[in-house]
Amino acid sequence: MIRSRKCSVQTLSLLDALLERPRSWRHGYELSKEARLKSGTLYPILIRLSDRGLLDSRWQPPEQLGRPPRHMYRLTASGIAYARELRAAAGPPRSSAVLLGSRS
Amino acid sequence: MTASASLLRRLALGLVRLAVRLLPPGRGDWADAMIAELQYVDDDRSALAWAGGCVIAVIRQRMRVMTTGNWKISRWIIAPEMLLCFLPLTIVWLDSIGKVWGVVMVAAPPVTAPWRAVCLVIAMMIVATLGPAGLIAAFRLVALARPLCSQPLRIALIAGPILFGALLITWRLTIAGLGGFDFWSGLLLGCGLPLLGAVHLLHLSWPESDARGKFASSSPGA
Repeated sequence: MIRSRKCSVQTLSLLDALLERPRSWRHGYELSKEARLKSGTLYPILIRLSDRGLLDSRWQPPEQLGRPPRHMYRLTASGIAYARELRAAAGPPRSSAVLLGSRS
Repeated sequence: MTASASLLRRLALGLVRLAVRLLPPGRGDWADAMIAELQYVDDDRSALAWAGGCVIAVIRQRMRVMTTGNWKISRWIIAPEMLLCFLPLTIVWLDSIGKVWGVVMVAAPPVTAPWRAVCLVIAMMIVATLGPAGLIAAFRLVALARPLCSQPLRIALIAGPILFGALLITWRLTIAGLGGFDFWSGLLLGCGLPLLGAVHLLHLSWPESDARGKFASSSPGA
């Protein structure tokens, strides 16, 4: 069972980015750009979501020679439900810039 | 790619590789993910910024593990810390019962009020038993992964060093002429360090909540 607890603006922003294409695998750099999160914020949230079973991850083989495989992420079924529930509770999605700007 | 740019990139990579060593066991995938993703970051300055963020993320993870109180902290960190915290008090205790090293005798000040000093020394001997008690509790934690469950011992480990410190302060204030006795060293070795060790020991022994345990044990999805 997922605990219902207050979600940070950054987590909400990341969930919004993941919810845009819930069935696609996304890599960390892309998510950080879409959610406008620095890596120092992004990874702790990804790890937490993964620990709670809300996020799936897999390794994607490199497309170019000499590049390392990438860690890809997408929401699990319970992650999608959780994100939608949070989104419904938080109101219509706003851009990440507005969300983050509203904190200060 | 310029020489300075590649240097930045190498610096960023070195920084992340160094930082991910701090990640708790079981987080290897995330360490690899951070290192791999860095190599897909567009430009070198962004790579350095990405690396800085990864360092922060790693530190936050390490701190989170420490605050959730599970057993993922390296034993090689806890063991010397506990030795440092409880060994001085143990030496005092051993000396007080068998004059093994003569440290207590060396440190004992020339007193002007013998009855008061004797009371204080006896009280200090009793308190000093917390040194070996703390060491045993630490050994059980480090070697056998058994948390400190005894409530009286928990209370004693916290109250003991505080009492010891209070005794030292009382000693200093009430007995004139401490001679060669180093008050501040006594306060640090007999009160400060054991208290630090006891607090850390209790913190690591704190029972995890069901939710925390469940989340900590669940592995990332494949």
